[in-house]
Amino acid sequence: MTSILTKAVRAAACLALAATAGAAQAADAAPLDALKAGTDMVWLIAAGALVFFMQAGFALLESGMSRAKNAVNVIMKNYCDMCFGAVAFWAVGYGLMFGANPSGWLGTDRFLLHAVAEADYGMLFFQMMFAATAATIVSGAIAERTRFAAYIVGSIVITALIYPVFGAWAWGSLYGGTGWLKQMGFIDFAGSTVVHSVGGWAALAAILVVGPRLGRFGAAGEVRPVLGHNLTSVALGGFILWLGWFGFNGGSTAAATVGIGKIVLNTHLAGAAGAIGALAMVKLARQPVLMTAAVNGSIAGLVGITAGCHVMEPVFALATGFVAGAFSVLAGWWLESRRIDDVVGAVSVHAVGGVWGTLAAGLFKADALFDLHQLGIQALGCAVAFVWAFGGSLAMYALLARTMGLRASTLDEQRGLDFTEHYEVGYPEFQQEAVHRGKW
Amino acid sequence: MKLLQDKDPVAARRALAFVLGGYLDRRRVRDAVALWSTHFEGQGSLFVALQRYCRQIADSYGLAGREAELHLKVFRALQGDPRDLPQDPLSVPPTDDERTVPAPLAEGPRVGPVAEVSRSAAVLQAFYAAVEEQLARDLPPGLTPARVRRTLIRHAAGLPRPQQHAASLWWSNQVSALGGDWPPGGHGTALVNVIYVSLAELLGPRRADQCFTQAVARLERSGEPALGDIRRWL
Repeated sequence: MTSILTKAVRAAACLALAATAGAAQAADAAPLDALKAGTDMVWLIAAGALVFFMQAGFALLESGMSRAKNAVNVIMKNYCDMCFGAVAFWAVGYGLMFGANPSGWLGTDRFLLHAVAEADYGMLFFQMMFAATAATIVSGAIAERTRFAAYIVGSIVITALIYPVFGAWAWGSLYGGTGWLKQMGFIDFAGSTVVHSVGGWAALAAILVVGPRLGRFGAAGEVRPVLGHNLTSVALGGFILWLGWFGFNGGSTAAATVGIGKIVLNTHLAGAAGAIGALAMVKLARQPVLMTAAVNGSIAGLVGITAGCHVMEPVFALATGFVAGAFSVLAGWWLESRRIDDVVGAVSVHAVGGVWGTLAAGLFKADALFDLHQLGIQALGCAVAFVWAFGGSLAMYALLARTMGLRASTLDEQRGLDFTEHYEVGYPEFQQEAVHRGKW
Repeated sequence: MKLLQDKDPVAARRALAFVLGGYLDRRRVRDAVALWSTHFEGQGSLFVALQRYCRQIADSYGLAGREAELHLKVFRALQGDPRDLPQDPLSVPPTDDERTVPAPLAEGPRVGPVAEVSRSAAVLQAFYAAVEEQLARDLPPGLTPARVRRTLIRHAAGLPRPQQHAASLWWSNQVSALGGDWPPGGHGTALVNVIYVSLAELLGPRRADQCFTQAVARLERSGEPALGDIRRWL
């Protein structure tokens, strides 16, 4: 039965090919180009929609890892990252990142994109999703103790300035000129550094400015875990992020090419290996095998493969993901030992995973394995990203702390930010904590 | 919590005698019950009065750190079968070995006279008693009630001066009741926040949340309308 079906399918395919070839000969080149452009655009928009869906993944994962009294606040931050970020990137960020860039440092046009070639709008849509991803990485890191208004201002600055400026160096430009890092040969296909490390370093800066949650670390240095309220959400968020990553990496071809197959396969393998790497590390250290470690490990693997998914063979994608997952666990422990309170592990996953992934893209490039010159360029890109994103964000958050106030009051922390920032609670009928006012 | 509302003075004295008999000799039990009778009986909410009383007994009779345990046992005795309780020690003349001058309140910090307690202060006292009770069940090693109170007093420094003074006097056991007015949304809410910050510092945010949650639930179940309003102070 199977062989009959197979033969039938083959015969049908041959007929279709013959028909297509005949049609191609008969047709002009122009309609074919239009068809190709249309198909590319369909893929780009579909991939952009997948990246948009990642925001839902971030929202579920981050709110699940927070206490019930802060769930709405975390989701609001993710939601508003997308809303404010979209406008900021359209108005300023896209021009800085992809506008004509004769100096190699900054884009100089395409601000407030309006009345341009139709193909440009699709690219703006796709890139807008990336910008929001970079910004939203911060939200989970400083959850449960950050004032909403100041956070949103920070998110706008990241989307409009911090992310696009580095992006201009590494990816610019679409309209003439080349970013100086790109010109040196820096490889970062879909943004291990451009998106994830930049977001991760901004998150680290925000954590340092806002400080740890009340009582998170004892006077004698003991670490007090604050467990999330909904691990089901965390797992679902992890799955959604993983799914979205197929659009994140696959869509970065910006065209419907056969290369997408390898890219998404590498992406998937690295995500899987990331979880395995993280679990191997916790097992090696005789620590409990936490689901959150597996989820974060897989995300670290996905972050890691983002830079080099187009140039690596699958076995190296596995290695990249595995190491990224293991590093995410080690980095998380190290940060905790330094009394750095990262609620969701954003720094260990996105910053550390991004740095490793960017280096791995230089190490495991299929046509030039272990090329030290390339590795040097990759390392330079990582260092520049750290200096710019961490330094810029540190200055920005310090300024916000002094002017608007970044840190929520102890009363807000007691009541929960759902109530104090939004005057609503996530689970009015099933509230697990009575610390907020609850009834009014 | 029907018995909380009954306020039968004899039943309360019998329950106290039953519980205190596990800690003190007969003479001291009689003295302690007499102290209840003269200073605490009929002074507003039974819940609040018992909380203050247990603190004073613990300070006066070398039972420091066992206030919450006493409090809980008295409640259980009040809720149990009255036939299991001994007779009211004040309803019979003292025997020779019970006939002594009441001992001065020498052990522990000296506790002043019972002050008139405002309604808001009574609610906060009840809330703090419930918090202490939670702590007594699950206090980590090395963390004593005295250290908890020192932390509370340190964090009370953020309150306006008169409120800071009143709270510090109360937490340092120099007075048996919290003085002043502590309205919800104002100083009362600030005082609750001082308790939360202290607990978070000592126990971590998760256990501080749990402790508050349990304490709030306890007050809301107490059947006393005033205590059921505790969320207004949160």
